[in-house]
Amino acid sequence: MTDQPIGIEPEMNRGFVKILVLLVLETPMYGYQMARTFETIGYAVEGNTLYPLLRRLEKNHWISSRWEIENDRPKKYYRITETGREVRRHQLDIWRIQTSIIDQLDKEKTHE
Amino acid sequence: MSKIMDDYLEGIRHYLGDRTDTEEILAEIRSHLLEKTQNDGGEVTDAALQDAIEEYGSPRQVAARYLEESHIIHPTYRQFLFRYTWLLFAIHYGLKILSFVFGDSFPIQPFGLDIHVTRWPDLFIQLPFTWIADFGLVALVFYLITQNPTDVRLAWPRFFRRSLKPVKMRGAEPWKLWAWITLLIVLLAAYFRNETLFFQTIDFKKPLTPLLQPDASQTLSLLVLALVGFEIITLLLRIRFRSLWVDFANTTVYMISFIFVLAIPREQLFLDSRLLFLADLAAWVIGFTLIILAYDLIRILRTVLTAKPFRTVEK
Repeated sequence: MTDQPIGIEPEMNRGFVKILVLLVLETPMYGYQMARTFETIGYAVEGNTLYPLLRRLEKNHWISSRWEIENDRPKKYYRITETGREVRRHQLDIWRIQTSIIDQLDKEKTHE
Repeated sequence: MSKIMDDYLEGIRHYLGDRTDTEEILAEIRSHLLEKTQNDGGEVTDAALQDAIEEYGSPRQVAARYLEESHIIHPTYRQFLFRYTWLLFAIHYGLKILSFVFGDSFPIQPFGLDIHVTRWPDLFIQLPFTWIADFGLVALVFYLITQNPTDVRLAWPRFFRRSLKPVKMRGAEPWKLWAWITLLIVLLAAYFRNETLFFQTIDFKKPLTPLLQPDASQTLSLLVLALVGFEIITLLLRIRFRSLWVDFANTTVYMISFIFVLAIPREQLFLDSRLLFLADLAAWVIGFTLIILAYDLIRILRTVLTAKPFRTVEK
């Protein structure tokens, strides 16, 4: 990861944020908590990107949610489902294949 | 403090529209903004909340993120929207022209519509409204198709799909467009000043003497104006679409117009009966022009129908 948080907007990074969400939601978390977690590992995900994504993942039944009241404030906690774990496994496989292809091409380019 | 938040969330609610999960979305955004403000500054003040809201994005931008997957017209159907509109418009307006030329009406059942145009100005005025109505109808049908979960494969005639790019287009130069627009302005000015475009003599020091009888004078003047207007539309379409179907429509309209002129009884044309020989001369000229136009129409149709569906790159 880079030292500085990276603003994530482009289409290319949506898939990546999706995997990140599916990875961190082994532990139940609410939106803001997730955004802070990503920030600490070097990725800045804006709320207006994160929440619609969470809604789409929930619609696909990859994550589930429940409302809780903490300090008089309602918070929506998310957690990965069994279907979500399956999807995550599949997406990580694809991600690794893509990364190895890019590495290979990058190596070939540097040897030229 | 709450007013700033309430106004912001109300803005998002407005753009989200009628959704079952709106309240839940807004509650989550409210919770996020309050916690972020508290964590960033320690205290939730109006100014701190305003900063957090500005960083979060405008209401429209935020709502758009939730609506990305809901379409009024699905992207796969959008390409057909204008194609179908133009096709429907060609049929619809074509019927209006035929209704005017032949003085007949075309009832469209079972919709209870009756296409009946009796006056030239109506034909002129109805042109944009006809297109807008056809666009609305096609958009409505596409909206209904989009809401249907079943995949609908929209038909499009194969000969329309053929690539016509290799064909050299006629008259798509911008200077021609400006020349026609100038001509239209001049003719409109002349028409509104004198109520006709046809005079026996042109001497601006004396009152102009009309050439034609009042009815024929008005009809033919409006026809000339309509054809010049149509030529401008054709040039615009040529620049935009570069399709030979534009030429096809153009030639067809000219042919129908000339046939209509030929159908006017020669005795009803000139004020001065000594000029009747001009009607015979004009009939010959128009007849000859019609032959050229018919040849042109056949040539265009042949080019369109024999064009290859896919263009191969020649080295």
